[in-house]
Amino acid sequence: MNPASIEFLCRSTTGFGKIALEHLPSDLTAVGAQKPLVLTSKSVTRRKGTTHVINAFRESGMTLGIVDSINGTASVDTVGELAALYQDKGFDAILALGPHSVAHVAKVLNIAVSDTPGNLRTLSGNGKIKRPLNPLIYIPSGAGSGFETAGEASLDALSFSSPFLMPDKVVIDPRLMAQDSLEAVTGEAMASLACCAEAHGTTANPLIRSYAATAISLVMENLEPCLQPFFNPKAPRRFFPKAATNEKALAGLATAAAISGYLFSNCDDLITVKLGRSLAGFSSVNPGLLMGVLLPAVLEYRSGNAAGTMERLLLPMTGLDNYCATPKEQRFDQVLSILRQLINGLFQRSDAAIPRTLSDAGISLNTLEQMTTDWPKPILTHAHSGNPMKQGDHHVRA
Amino acid sequence: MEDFVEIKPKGKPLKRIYLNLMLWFVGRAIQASAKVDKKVKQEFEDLPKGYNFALGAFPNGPWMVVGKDDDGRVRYLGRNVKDKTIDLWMTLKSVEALFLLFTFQESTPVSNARSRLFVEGDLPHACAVVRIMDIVQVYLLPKFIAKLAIKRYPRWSLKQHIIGRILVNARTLIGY
Repeated sequence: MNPASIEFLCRSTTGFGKIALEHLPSDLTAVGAQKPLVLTSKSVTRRKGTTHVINAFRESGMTLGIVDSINGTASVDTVGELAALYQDKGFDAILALGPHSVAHVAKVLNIAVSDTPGNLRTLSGNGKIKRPLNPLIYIPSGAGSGFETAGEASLDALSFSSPFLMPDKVVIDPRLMAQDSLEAVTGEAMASLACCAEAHGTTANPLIRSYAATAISLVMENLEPCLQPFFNPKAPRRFFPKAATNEKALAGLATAAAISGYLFSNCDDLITVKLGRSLAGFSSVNPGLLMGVLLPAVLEYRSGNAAGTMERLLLPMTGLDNYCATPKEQRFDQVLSILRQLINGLFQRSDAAIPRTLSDAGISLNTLEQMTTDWPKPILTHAHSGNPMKQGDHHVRA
Repeated sequence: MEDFVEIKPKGKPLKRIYLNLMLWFVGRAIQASAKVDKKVKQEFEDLPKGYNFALGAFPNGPWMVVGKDDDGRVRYLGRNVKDKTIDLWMTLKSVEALFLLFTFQESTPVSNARSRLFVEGDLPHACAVVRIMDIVQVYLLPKFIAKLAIKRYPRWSLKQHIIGRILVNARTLIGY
């Protein structure tokens, strides 16, 4: 199927793998930056993530500024202090090292210190930032929300959306990956899977599909190794205790999360992500896990849409052999089956810490009834109970 | 801000010493190979006279400069890039990337594929330099290491392996 016209924008370069951090000095010099400011959190500093970044700049001749007090309670006042520091000390680039709170603060700081007309309040909203900002590099250090690389940021009551908020480069180095909690790791994986699966199945844009297929494969290959320490923990060695050995799998998940951020900025109609974020206000569960719960219901709901072909999702999920061996009419059913088995398996192995349905996540039917004015009722109903939407031989059309 | 620190990271002296030594040796080996090996000789004949190329790490080296003078002789010109006209820069993005190359954990094509190497100058000449370095590494290194350093180990005669190696290594040490 060849669409009449396509659009795709990914402003970020992604660097992954061994000594990816050591490319930073040359990449910063290429964009005209000589003195970056590193924003990070105390947890990253404790895990020696900052040490790796400092070591990456050895022999570069560059001076780094490091602020490691960024956390989830950062506010617009924090950004004001950082902006004053940035301008007084003459920094010319921002490195955001850490979780999504650091990424958001870095993006908002970049708006404040770049030469953009207006202030933060006038620039908040959709599409108000119309020119490139100062160089911004994002370096994940563990499980995030899955959308740190998207062109959006929010701080206090202000939210910003613009393609120019996407980082110029994303550096994923396995040395920086640290094992977070089960919910955080699974939430990141499910958020990426939900975003990319829905994007892949509902669009005919070949560029979006390529990125989405890559991310889906990364999640399916790397999720299980990342969860091994939780479900099959090994006793630590008494002498010379070894650090976590699944850094590569965590880095694979981080790459999938970076891709889902790119796709989220290119797809306006991802119900799974938007509905998951809305429902997060009614539950203490990680929004990514809610997106994973919603995914089968959303795919079923949207399977009647002629723009995409859901059956192609089987290819990145299981590989070429299984895709070719499965008849075309059965592929979508197998996709749903794999997703439901994945979610149910996580529920069972985590002793119900990871929800299978919206009712497991503590969201009542009454709450969902109130949301049916804004969101399709079949999705909410079926995600709440876990019942498949398929009736008889046909899927319910959208 | 209380938690702000400004740091200027230091250097890597031991790696620098090792890389300087390796680059010195390889530079002289290129000079020696140009007299011993026919293929290296041919590659240099295709380069223009007075052509200099440098291989090193961004931003401050270490560097290796090799050039072909106006008489067509290939010379190792040292590690100083500032007082020379360099026609081809082959730069690794960091000292770590150069270290990976010269500890043979990555070959030159793998290093290029991983975006660690960038070239300023003519691309065909850069490919010629890579071919020259591959041949030189076969002369200098035992087979099990050379196979890691180059893309494909060449099929040479026993005579070329033995006599060529003796001549290249001897000339490298002597500097002739």
